[in-house]
Amino acid sequence: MKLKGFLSIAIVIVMVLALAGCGGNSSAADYPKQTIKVYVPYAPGGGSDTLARAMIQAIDIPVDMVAVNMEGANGLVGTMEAFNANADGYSILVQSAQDLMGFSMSGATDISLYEEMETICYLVGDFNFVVTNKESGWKTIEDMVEYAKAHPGDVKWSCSGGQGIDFAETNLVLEGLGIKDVVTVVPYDSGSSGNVALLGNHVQMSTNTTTEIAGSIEAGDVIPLLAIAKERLEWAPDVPTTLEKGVDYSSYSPRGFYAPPGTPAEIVKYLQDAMEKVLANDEFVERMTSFGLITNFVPGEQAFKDMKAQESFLKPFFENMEDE
Amino acid sequence: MLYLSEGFTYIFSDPLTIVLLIAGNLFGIIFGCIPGLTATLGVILLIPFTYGMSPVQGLTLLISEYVGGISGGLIAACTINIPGTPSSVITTWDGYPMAKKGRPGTALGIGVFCSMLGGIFSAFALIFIAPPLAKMALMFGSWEVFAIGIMGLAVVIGMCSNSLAKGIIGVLFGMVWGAIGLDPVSGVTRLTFGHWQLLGGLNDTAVCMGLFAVAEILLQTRELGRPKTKIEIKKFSLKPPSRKEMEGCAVPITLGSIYGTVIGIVPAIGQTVASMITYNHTKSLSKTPEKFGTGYGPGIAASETANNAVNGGALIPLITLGIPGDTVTAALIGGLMIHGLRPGPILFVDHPEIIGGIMVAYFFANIVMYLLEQGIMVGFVKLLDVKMSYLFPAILLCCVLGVYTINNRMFDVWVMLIFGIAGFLFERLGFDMFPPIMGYILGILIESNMTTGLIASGGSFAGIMEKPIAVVLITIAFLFLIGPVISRYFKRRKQEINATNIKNI
Repeated sequence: MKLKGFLSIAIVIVMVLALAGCGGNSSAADYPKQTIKVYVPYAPGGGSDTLARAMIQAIDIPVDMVAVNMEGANGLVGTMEAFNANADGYSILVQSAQDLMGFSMSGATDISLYEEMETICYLVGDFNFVVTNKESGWKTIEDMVEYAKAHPGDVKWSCSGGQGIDFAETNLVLEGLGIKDVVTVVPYDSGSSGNVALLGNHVQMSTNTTTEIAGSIEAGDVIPLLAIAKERLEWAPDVPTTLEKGVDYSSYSPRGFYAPPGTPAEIVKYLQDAMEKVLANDEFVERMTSFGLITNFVPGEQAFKDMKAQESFLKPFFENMEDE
Repeated sequence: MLYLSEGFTYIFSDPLTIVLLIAGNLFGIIFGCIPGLTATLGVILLIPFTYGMSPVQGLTLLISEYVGGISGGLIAACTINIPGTPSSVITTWDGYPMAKKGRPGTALGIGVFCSMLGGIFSAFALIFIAPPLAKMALMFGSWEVFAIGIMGLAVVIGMCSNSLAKGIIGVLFGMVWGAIGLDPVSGVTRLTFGHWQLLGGLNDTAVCMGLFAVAEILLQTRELGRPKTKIEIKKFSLKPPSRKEMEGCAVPITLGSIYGTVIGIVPAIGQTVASMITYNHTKSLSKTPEKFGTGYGPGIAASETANNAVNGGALIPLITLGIPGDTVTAALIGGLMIHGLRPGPILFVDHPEIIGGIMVAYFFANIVMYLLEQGIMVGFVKLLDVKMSYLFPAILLCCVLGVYTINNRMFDVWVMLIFGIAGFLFERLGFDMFPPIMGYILGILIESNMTTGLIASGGSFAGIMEKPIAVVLITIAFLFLIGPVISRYFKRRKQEINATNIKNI
């Protein structure tokens, strides 16, 4: 009896050791050797999901990549999962730079995720627009400003979330236009419900991304008044930018890939080089464009610098909000 | 109607599309009938396969999977008292008691038949009056959806009139679970106790499968040792249910079709609420309300017509405006966008064959679902004979697999197991599991819309008064609550009068 007990314990120990051995001996030198997981912190079918899947299809590396969807808390749950994953290059994250930055700025987490994680590169990006609906009758941003000033409190303006970057951007634009005190900003739980509210005339103005509103603009139900950008966009050449209208704020919302903190630099470089080549794939570019995303490769170091610069623009707003 | 004929030829000129229509449906029924594997999970798993297909092929596969999945939930609900998919919770109330009485064939027959009727009604709404109906989705702002939530709560409270205190405690419990995590509107974190895994809140499928599947298995496990009372299965045919079996079902079918379609059109409300409102309304109109919950056909009809009518309703704002109503319709939008097609008014003009294709696919998905489920029903009835000691471990395994796969997180599996044990204890204390799950679903709906509504009306509830739809809905909710009290008062009054009359004589 005793022997049996001892034997079974020994067998268990051997099995555990064997299992432990499976994950261990991988190093940067012979990377990649096994399947790479791409964490998608949103439900299947959205922009980031399609970016990840299109990249996986187009990338040319000797191992497989799989997309792992993990939604929750507007992308924070999947992001945290990737943040906590092994830093061996076999777990990476697809995320929008603004969202990644927003998590810590809004206080949803204490960890400055974008500073801690390794930025591999950006592959695509989109812009935010200031839009109105058909019912308002406004053709230009001046029409709206004039009305808002004459009717304080009448104009309602939707954005996605009451603490994130969207909310901050909306307020910065309102401040720049000099109508911050006469317009009510109404945060919705997502960009899509913000757009539904605009279509139903529950709000008259909205800040939203190209991916969310391109369809409604095409149909003529939603009219873009301002692009929150430095230069006019090829996609909407007739829409003036914030800078043209004297609003000292412009932004660009890139999306790309990140690796957990401490991932070896060679591995990050390897992935960056492989991903850069994806942009030469016509099908990839076509799929991104159909989503309203503009393809634009930005290597990791530059991407990180860009983000830092945008943070310095937005930080005062969040600090003010905390004080209030 | 040009798009309809174009869609028709588009679907039927391609044999692969017809194969996908049937295969997707069968896949959906299997996923729907196994607790833990839900219709939504089926869609999520199929999406990657649609990338390589033409838009109409991909959408046909997803739509037919969804139709089969939502309907398939009734099979487990009727035969083992576990909703196969969360939307069939209410089907268990009458489906299982009827099966236990030896009429599983009738229970399934009514369910399957009504599923098809609900689906087809909403398909007609989709085909003929989609554009005007879509306006409804836009009419519902924050206050209107808030009012629907309040009305739902009133219905839940009204339904637990036999133990009001327990019902209210249950609803409050559910609302607290729903509040966990990062509030999407204000961005405040609540009840996470510093644990990042809780930031996203609890997963719907995990909570639902915990309370209804795991808890039910624990409850039934207590019976395993005892000799099983063999259920005498009465003979049944493969024909649709007879007129006698369908007696009293006309009202729930009509109500369910309308409620289901309308609730489907308004984004983010869902099947369970539609089933509940229909069930309650049918019961209140019935001359024999005491029969509900004891294996009464109209109860099954109410739940199954409504939850399948929601599917067609949800497609209406999707194709006309490009607004997704739930995870599944959001996935359908993704499926279109991959091919460079943007759902919305422009699609009607540029690609009528795709709009028509969606309509035709949805219509036929309902027919195929009916034929498939009728055909393999004999097999389902046999489920009653399988030894529970084999069936339960298999179901538990599927629950773990399904809940893990839906969001790829082990954390959700723990949530499900904890809720399973909690549900078991609650049930032993005499609590019903329905109020908490409705508190959970409605709490989230009410809160986010209330926050947005309050901000828009400058922090005051007076904003509701400007929204006629919301006012009407809240009034109905109020009547639901005080209705029973008043009728009881009048009854007592009548009795007293009768008593004094008798005395006077």
